[in-house]
Amino acid sequence: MKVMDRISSLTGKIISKFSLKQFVDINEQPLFRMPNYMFRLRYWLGALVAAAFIWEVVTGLFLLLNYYPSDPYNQTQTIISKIPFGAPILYSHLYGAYFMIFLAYIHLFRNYFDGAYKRPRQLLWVVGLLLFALALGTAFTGYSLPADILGADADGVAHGILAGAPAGSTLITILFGNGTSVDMYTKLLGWHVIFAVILGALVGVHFMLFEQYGVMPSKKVKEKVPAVYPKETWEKFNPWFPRNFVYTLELTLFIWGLILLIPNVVINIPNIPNSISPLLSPAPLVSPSQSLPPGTPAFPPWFFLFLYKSIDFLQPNGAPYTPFIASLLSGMLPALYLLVLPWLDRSDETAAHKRTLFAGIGILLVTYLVQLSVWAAVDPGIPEPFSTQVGLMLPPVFVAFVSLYLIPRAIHSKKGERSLTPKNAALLIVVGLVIVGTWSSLLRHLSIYLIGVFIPIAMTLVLFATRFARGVETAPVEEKAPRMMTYNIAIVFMVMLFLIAAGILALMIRYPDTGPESTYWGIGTGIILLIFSYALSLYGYLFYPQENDEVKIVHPGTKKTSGGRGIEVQGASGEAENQADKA
Amino acid sequence: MEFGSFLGIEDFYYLRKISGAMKNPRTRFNDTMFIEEGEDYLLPYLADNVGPVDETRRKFIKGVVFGIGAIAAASVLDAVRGLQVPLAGENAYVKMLLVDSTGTAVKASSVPVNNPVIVLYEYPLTNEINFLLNLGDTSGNPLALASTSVTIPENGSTYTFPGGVGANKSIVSYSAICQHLGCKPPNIHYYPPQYMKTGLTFPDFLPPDALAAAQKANLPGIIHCDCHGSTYDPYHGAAVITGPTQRPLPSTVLEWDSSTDQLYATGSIGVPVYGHTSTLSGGTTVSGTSSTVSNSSNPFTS
Ligand code: FES
Repeated sequence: MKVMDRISSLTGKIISKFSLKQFVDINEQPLFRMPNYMFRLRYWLGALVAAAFIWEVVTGLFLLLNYYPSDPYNQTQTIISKIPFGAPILYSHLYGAYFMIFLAYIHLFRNYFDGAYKRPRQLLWVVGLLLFALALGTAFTGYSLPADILGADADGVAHGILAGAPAGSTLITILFGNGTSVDMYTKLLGWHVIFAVILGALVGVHFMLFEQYGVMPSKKVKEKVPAVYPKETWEKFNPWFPRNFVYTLELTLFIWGLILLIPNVVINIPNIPNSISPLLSPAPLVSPSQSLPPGTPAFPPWFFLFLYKSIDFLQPNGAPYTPFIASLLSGMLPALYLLVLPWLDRSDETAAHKRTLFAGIGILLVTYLVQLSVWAAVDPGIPEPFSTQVGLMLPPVFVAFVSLYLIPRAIHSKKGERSLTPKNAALLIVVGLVIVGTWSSLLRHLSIYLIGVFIPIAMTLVLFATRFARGVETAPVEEKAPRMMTYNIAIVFMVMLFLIAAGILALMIRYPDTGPESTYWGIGTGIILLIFSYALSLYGYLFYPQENDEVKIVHPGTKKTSGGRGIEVQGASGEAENQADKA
Repeated sequence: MEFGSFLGIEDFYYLRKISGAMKNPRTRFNDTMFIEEGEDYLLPYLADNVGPVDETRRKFIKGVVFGIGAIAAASVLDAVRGLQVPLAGENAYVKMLLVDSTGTAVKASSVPVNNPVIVLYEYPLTNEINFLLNLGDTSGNPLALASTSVTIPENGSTYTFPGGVGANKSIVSYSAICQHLGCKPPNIHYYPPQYMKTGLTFPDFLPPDALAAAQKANLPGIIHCDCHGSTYDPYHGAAVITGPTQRPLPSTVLEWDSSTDQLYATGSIGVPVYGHTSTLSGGTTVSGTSSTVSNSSNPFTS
């Protein structure tokens, strides 16, 4: 014991001597401090995107060192089969991009429906949209780099879209070079890196703007614009180190674990059907001079599927659009709408149910995105007449607005009481289905049709789910959540996690680091990262305060001393939510 | 912002006074101080040595600084044009002999009629592949293909397809890159008469509307793109039969030497090859004076 004490006091001395803290104290930095209730995933969606981006940068640099624009297809195969850890890294680079774009969509729409783009965060929103556009540009150029048949096809389609654009041929030379293969892959690699660098710089701007306004408080805390915590309130929350750091690390490791685990599992699944292999395969397909296995459609990556389908659309007179006009309509119009949204929706409400029109448009955007993407996957490249477009894309408009109108009304039908039980909600869905059932002439496109009906209803329900949940909930939220786990159990648990992680490592190092078996490294390391993430989560649960501090700001801007944390516990306002909580 | 208040004669006089004071050794302008302190140095300096800067003068000076900044930005940004690289390519079509993989000239009489195998060669650039087709009727006899006028649906203009070459005038060649969105063989290929039916194995099925359009036009075979269903008429200059394409496939001009039975590619007519602003630019030239014809694959597996 004496020895242990000696060692710990010695290390303490050394640490304090060389501590960075005397130069920079992170907690002295003006970083936003988080209240307890915000250590939940829904407030950290941006951090998830950033975690995926960091993974992309690190693996991307490794790939950059090993890529030859002069022989892109064969060199990619070399990376996969000969370079140590090349296969798991390449596969996770692709899936990391998938994760990043998917999470960015979630992040975007969460902020859309929560009204986070409103004053004072307009610029944050606009920068976010630019980031999204850049991410798609980076993804497109990166997708072409393996020079497999899908990449070559994607370049062909991009040529067709750009050829119709003003100054299109100039754009084509800027993006794709002088027409020779070496120049094309040199340019694509260059743009891929340049876009990623600009993306990284803008992430910095995005982050700084975020720090300036802080996290948007929950609706319960502040519903009206400007949804910000007054400085004297948030300064009393948890400092950045250690809690925020530990939670960020937990999420980052979680995402990295998934990014590494999933593609390396997928590549080991035998017999993925050809019809979906272009969407799932973590590895490049055959070279452009070979033919795809029978039944394999030449898909673009999933996040461009919606655009791909819109190219098949015919005008009302039966003539096709030029690919440029089609992608302008399906890609640029929604983008422009989102860009000017903060200036279109000027009300001071942030709750979705008080912004019916914009919530409805948002639901439609999501619906069309999914609908067109699935449509492209099911019927790739089949020209669609105007009547089919209307038949499939008009019902969601009705469903979205009918359910947006009915569901909140059902909630407020009896004052103070929640009448929308899950049973009633199910009934509403049936009613909705009957209304739109009159369109059922479109049997051929049944699945796409149903997507168009289900998504609006489901999303309306999700948007209001927190409200019913509160209506149904009877137990008040405990001020201090009782610990479900004693420290002794936690110790046993942690040791078990350690042993499992060590076991996986021991198992993994038996496999070669090149060739197909190197993907086992990806699987094992993915699982270890997930275990690490879980251990951090357990640590946070055990050692950080869990009190519910999600309390309403009564007079923003005035300093309150009575509430202990600088905010007053909500008074007897007539708010139905508070009553429900107390009941 | 009035123009008059911006550019008064006294402003120029004032500027002359400034430059005089800056050069004067007794009141020399300290560049280092200016870089470090900016306006905090400049304004007191001017006030001490030339007379105070009033609001108008200050605006004027600011305006000139912004103007210089704009000129500097424009002149730097001009270099953005450096991003546009000149396209690789050649200036004129080179006459090329079609040879097989051993380097021997391809004989026109030995090109199979209604061949289901995809036969390709590069011309005039290496990324421009062409079909070599010998077209026949349903019983496999070569068809003499006359010169016709081909319409480009996109803009309504027309050009003349020169017709077939060879002893039977039945050999033609077209760009093998779909004019819709650039799909290449085996996604796009020729359907000879024996495969003009429905019920073939995927992906070589013909959609019923393409088949119906071909039958309506009385065509023994078609060139069809599986990507999005564009259909071309190989007997009449690869004219468009069904969309979504808005442009016919460009015809690669062939020349037949009747004495040796050899085939030469000499040029291209119609729209530029897909993805190119002109068929001659945007790629590496096929080197030498011959291009190799090769059997790529047989898309019909059943
Ligand atoms: S690329 Fe041939 S039809 Fe679209």
